[in-house]
Amino acid sequence: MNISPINVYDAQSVHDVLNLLEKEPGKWSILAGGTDLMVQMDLGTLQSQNLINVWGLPELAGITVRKDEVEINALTTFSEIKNHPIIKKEFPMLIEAAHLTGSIAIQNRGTIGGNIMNASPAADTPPALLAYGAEIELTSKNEVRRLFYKDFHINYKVMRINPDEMLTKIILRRTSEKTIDFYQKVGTRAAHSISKACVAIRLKLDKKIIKDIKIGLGAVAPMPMRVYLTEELLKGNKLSMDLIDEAILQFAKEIHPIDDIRSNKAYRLRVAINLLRNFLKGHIS
Amino acid sequence: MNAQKINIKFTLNNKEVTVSTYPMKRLIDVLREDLLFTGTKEGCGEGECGACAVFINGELVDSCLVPIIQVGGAIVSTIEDLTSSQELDVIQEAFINNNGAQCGICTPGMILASSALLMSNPNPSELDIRTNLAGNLCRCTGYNKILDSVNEASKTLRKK
Repeated sequence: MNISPINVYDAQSVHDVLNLLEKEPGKWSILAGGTDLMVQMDLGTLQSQNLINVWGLPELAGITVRKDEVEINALTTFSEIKNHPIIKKEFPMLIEAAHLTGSIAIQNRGTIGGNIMNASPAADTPPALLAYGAEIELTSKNEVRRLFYKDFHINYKVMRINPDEMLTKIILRRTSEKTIDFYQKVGTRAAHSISKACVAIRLKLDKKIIKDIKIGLGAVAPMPMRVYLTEELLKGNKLSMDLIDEAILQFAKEIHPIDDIRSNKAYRLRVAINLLRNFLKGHIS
Repeated sequence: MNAQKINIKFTLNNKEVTVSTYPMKRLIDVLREDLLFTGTKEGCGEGECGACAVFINGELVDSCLVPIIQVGGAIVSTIEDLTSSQELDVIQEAFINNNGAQCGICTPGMILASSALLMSNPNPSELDIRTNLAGNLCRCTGYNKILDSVNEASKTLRKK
């Protein structure tokens, strides 16, 4: 692709970015770590010829641990996430997802904010964030608002964000309750593989009664998704084979995998079902 | 309409360099075309093969995925930086001794990825090596010789 017409504004602060987004909403795309955007540029599928470079802005970097929450700023790289002691201890599915994203060279550059905004249905961190009930922070010149991440992706690459807003934070709620986390990505090889199907689950069990369950999924619908009806069916009930069978029937109706170059609908459905069933079965006795 | 060319100053292999180019030019193209550092190779051009790996501020990255505008003020080091004066680096020697290179296109990336690993983990297990080189593809040797090379390099470095 001819790169010469691509116009880049080199932002010096978040304030700079928000000013520009307010002045010319819809014109600009944000360039973070570049690991997705540069590929699109090379393939000629880049949507915008006007980019705002935010890489290196200190306000958007780093992880803050608070009493009840962990805040991950949008420019935090997968490598920074992988090495963070509190995330390792309390949010292991996010560690696993970061570890499975691209390769080490990609993890050193790719950012969690970019991963969310690129909005690939097959991205590795969204299922984990969904299973943790994460929130995100969207910032415009006039407002800072929080949104549950589960409500962010509406359809294929369609998101609940205004043209004058940028994603600034991902917020994870800490818990002292006992939880069971399960994350499994199915791909073709160890590095660089793009998910055929991905399942992330956080389960709270009390004497075999499902107190709470959140199931985040990747590559089985046009966007990362939760399966609320399946979760509702399971919640409050005692874990049994009958309950699992019932949940699987609901689950199969709720996801919408497709045929594409990486896999096919039937395989994705089978794999997603098996992952959920095997996980639940493992906690019956 | 063309975007404005920009002047970008950065440190390449311990020397300060300045290039005047378009902001989205890929680092690999600046290295190879503007600065004639051709040790860095292009494989896939989309971050899937690791052949173009370099260090930016001490971190391994794929130079085909980094636009030059993000390199201003950074410290870049390429395969050419590994060789001090006339001597080959221990990792390079180990790749030669173990036939770790065949056609050679993946080798600069393999060696820099190995270097990144050995800096953080001087005594890696076979699994550590495989995990850390998983982002680097070789279509010739079948990886075992590369594994042997990294093993030897790790032993030699620990003796030093």
